[in-house]
Amino acid sequence: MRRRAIVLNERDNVANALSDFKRGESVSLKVGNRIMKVDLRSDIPFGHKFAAKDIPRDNEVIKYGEAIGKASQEINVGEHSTSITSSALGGEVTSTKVDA
Amino acid sequence: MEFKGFPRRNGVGVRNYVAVACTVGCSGDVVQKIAQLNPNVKPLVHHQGCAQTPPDIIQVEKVLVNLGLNPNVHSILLVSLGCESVSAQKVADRISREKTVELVTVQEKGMSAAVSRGLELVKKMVAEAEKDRRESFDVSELKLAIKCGASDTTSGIVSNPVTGDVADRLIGLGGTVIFGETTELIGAEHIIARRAFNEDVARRLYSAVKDIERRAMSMGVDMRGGQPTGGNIKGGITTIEEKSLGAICKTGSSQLTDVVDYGERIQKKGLIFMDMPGRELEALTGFAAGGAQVILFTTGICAPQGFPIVPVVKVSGNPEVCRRLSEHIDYGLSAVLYGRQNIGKAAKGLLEKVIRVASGELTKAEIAGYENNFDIYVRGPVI
Repeated sequence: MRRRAIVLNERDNVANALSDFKRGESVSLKVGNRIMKVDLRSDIPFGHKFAAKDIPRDNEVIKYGEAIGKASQEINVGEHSTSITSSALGGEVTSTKVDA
Repeated sequence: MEFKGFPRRNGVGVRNYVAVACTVGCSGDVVQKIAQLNPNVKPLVHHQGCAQTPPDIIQVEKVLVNLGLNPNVHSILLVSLGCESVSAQKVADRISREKTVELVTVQEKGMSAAVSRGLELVKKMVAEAEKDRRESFDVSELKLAIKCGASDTTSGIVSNPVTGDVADRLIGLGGTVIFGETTELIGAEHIIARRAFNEDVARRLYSAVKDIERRAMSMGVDMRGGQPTGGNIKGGITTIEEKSLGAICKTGSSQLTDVVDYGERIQKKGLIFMDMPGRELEALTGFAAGGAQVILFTTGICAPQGFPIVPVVKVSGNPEVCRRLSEHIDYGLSAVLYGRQNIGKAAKGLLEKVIRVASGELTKAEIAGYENNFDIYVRGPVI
């Protein structure tokens, strides 16, 4: 099995882990026709997101080509992206702790 | 691109069923007895049609008519009790404008007579249906419904994005794609509304979402508040928009052509939203009444059931489920999860699968006969 991650839309600034990753691992991402390498700064469980680009605080986090909320703090490339404020609810989900 | 289907007065069927439907739950037993004695027919047994508010009775009549008019149905026998609120005669008259319909009534001479008269009638219908042959039609004649159920993490990152690409491809070829599950839009309705053809379509979309939220609120339930759930967060989802988009991405990126009410016959081409609940029993019925000939159903941990008159193609991106439950999964997308195939290539393969099913290839639910359970969505109280 090739360990990798997927960027669902060319406009996205986050990628999704298709297997469990450890901090320090490198992942190659295909964005459009471009292949880029990202060094992971956190453990990323299967199905979770990490930043494919630096996302400054209050900037939109883009997945599926759409804003899924705003970064409640700066998310650097390769970091687990969970600090996102929903624009639909006004609440913030900051839970970065994952039991899995 | 072409598929082989059965020409109808309105549209093209991908199956050639003789259906037997009860007009009220009370005559369901008679339908089942006819279907047991003649396995060539498709039983349509629901539980509605009486002791309901007038708007629901009108809705049940509309859905029964439109199920009968689904192009996969060659002809239909209606089984009425006799005293139900639904007008069986009205339903029969409306179907008869387009195809053969017969009616038997249990309260006339009793169950045994209704079964034997029904058997005589369906024998003739099956003999007539046998004469039909498939012909080639352009894929623009296809109405494909899309739905997800028993989802897991792979749904949002593999099978729904691939299905979205299938939807874009079919619409690009001139076909129609129908989606529903109004509750799935909560938190991302503004994103779909931006894709609306005009302001009126956007307004009707917002109104459908508001209505279901208001009705849940009247039961003391806030459908927006607890989202995403703890389980969702553990699976990698952070916001309600992200959760809803995980489901909505199966609609692709096409313009939203129209918003229609539950069970309404689809007249327009392109991407159509139908107001409906997410529960399969009623959701698949809405699509079938809308005229969908095939349903593409993405699942994570495996929702196995099909629908009596519409083939349902089950897709999963969960490799373990694809292996363990291969009895129920028609198309596996593990290659995408493993990084061996990209979304576009997987979508091309899945669209080809849909076209093969439209041309007669049986789905797993059809092979297993796991497809007889369904119901009609009603909004009001049972009286």
